[in-house]
Amino acid sequence: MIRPSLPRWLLLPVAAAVVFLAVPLVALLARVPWTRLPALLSAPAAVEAFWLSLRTCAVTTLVSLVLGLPLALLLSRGKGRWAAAGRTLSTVPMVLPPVVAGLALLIALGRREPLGGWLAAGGVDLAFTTTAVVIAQTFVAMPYLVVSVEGALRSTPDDYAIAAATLGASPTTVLRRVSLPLVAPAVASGAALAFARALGEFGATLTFAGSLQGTTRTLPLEIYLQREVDTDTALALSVVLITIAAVLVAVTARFSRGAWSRP
Amino acid sequence: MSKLSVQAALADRGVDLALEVTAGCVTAVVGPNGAGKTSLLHLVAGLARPTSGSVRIADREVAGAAWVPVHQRRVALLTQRPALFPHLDVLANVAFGPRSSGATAADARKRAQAELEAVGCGELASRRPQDLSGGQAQRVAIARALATDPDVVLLDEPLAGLDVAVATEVRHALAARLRGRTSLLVTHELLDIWTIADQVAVLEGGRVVESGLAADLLARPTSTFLGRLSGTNLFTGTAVGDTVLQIAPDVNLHGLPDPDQPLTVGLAGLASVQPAAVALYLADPGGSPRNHLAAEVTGIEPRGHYVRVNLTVAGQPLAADLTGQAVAELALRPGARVQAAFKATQVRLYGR
Amino acid sequence: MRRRLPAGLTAALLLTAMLLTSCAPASAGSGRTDLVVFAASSLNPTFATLGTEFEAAHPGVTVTFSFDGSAALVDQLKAGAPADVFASADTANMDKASTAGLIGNSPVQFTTNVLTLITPKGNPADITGLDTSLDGKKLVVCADGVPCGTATKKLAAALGITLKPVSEETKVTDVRTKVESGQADAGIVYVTDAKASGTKVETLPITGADKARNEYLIGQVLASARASLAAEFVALVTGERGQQVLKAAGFGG
Repeated sequence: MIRPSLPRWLLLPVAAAVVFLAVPLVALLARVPWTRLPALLSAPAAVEAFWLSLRTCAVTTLVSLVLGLPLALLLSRGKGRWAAAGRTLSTVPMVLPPVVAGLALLIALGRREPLGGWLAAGGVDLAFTTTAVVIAQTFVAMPYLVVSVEGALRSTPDDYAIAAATLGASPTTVLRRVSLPLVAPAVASGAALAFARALGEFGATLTFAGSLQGTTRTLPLEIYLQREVDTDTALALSVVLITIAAVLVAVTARFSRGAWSRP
Repeated sequence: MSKLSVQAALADRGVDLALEVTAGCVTAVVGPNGAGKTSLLHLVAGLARPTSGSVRIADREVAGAAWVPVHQRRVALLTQRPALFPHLDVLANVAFGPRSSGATAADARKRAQAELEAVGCGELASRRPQDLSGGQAQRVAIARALATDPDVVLLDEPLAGLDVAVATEVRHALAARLRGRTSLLVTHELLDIWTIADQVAVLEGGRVVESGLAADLLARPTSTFLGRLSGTNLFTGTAVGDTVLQIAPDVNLHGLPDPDQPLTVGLAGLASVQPAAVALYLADPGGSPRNHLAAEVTGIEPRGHYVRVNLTVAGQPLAADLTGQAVAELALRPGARVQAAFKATQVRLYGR
Repeated sequence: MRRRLPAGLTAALLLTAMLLTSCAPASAGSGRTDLVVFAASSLNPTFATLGTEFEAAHPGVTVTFSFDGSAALVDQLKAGAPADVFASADTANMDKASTAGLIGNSPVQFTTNVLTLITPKGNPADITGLDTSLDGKKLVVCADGVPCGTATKKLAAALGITLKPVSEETKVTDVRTKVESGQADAGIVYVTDAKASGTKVETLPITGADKARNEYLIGQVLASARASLAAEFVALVTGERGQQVLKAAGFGG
């Protein structure tokens, strides 16, 4: 069957859209000193920033899964005001400007504040630590996982879980063998999104965790510094970020169906 | 084999049910939409909590003062949608129940294969649910439900949505596998009752208004029972030929046998004919129709554009739909004696 | 029957027309002149004051500032950003701009800035200076590579001490805010920053701070179309009034 074609004038705004999105990326890539790339990327500061980013983002994604999946499960079943409030709460960090997120974390956990002071007295000093980086990243990245998984859970029909229960599966078994496997694609794409968001996290990290090579200076913070020091290095590191982002987007697209197709 | 007893109410759904199911019996549950059939199944399965009363399975109270959650009730549920887990293959689906109850993987697989063979789907073990046809999926669902050896099997119109030939296959599978299992089968289909059910319960307005043996209700269908089905006339009798059913001494019905369930001479059979196919005459008309039966009018019900005339034939009820004009011309009224005639080609005959 | 243009095409053409006409220079036919000054972040409050005075003395002129890190400003100038005056926080960046042929007349040094130590109000960690009182405490400095960071490194080397900061910020304002909020126990910033923070911080002058002095240079951008106006602004900065404002803010150390 041939689909009725789209009107031809659509090509104009489409071209404008493609140009709008592509030009900054193309411009950046054109300025990159490709021949010097290996040398620039093997500088100790760059290497440390890269591994720090990967480590922290991996931990962040793990924490997001551990905390976010139960939240998504609960939200997907909730009806009424509490569920709506919960959903708003878990989405707000997504739209918050990162520097506001950093401010919020600072006020919550800074050692001059009640909670932070209590933690500090107990020997838990979060400021300027890698843990602080993970906290900042998780705050902004977890919502992406929650939203992705909750959506898929909502669109999964109830009969699978009911059938599993009538077959004798306890609630934990239903979760483990039916509900979660059914949304595995959404979990994967949600995790990829969370990782990507954590990777690009900058404002909250800067405000809350500080910037020290090897401890808290993730890739974006390193680029921020190199912007003032050596533009070529900043461009080289940007290429790394863009590459990782592109790979993650491809993973997300692969799993964007969200859930298994119904038999 | 477990007894099932439901003496429970769901106030917010306007349902108050009292039903006892004999152990090992298949009970067909019929009734109009909204009569409470699904509520009944939910009460037994544990998907609804009674506001009063109790549900007992095999002398254990599962709802009422106590509450046993769904997964501990040993009640299987089959609906129109097979709900096979799409991320597992057919064998893993059927083995799911045994595995969840603690069987080893190997034992569960063996049990699953046996169940699949029993419904004629043995060779589908490694297929994915998405690759099955509607009838295959439903049969696999039956195998999956029975693999847990449930105390009660609940079926909610499992054959709706399947086309006729496929439904017949699955109906036979159900008949074979449900034999001897306490089951509740919600259905609108006469054939389901005829082929599978031992008992029948009629629901209306959230209450059980009639119940009894399937054979009795089919032999002497009350108008309540008939009204809840697809609105046909039913006669039970003994097959005396491929196309002839004896419904009373000296009263034979001629009809067309159902290709999937033909008559067997000497065995019980069922005949159905639509009220719209029954013509009434004041005297025997002769002519082509094979069936001429003496009948007496018992009631006349105007129904808008047509009139439902209720009659008795050989002691069994018969309904005929006529126009108001015809009724007036024949001056029909309760007590009038008439000849009912209908063509053999409009009578369906079903064997066991 | 006349065919009308498809709605989408009309919209696209209108949008394009709007974008093109909005690219016209702001001053065209409006009677106002815009003087664009690129200045290092640390010059923010002082230059803003001078800008207001300049506008008062030159009716019809609006002074627009772009405060940013000196290196970022040089990049923007290289990319062709329209500016009339450039003031950098160190010689290195002004040299970069000059080498790229972006600066007109030779740039002049108009002030200097030295570093100082600050602590949160009340000095909760009992810091006494760039000494052992910093051991185990949270010290925040600028990162090496940005002007104030390079100066910090130079100062530490000149004084023969090793600094162990918990964070090396890209912007000196970030150092300030961390100290002001009490997140950090101490920070090394410019004297001008310490003055700007006022009572929110305690200031501990560093003996020998002049060993790492930042020289601020100002020059006219070559591509500027308002060379005379730019020259007048430079004169204001280097003249008596400008120096007065700068000294009051803490420059000239």
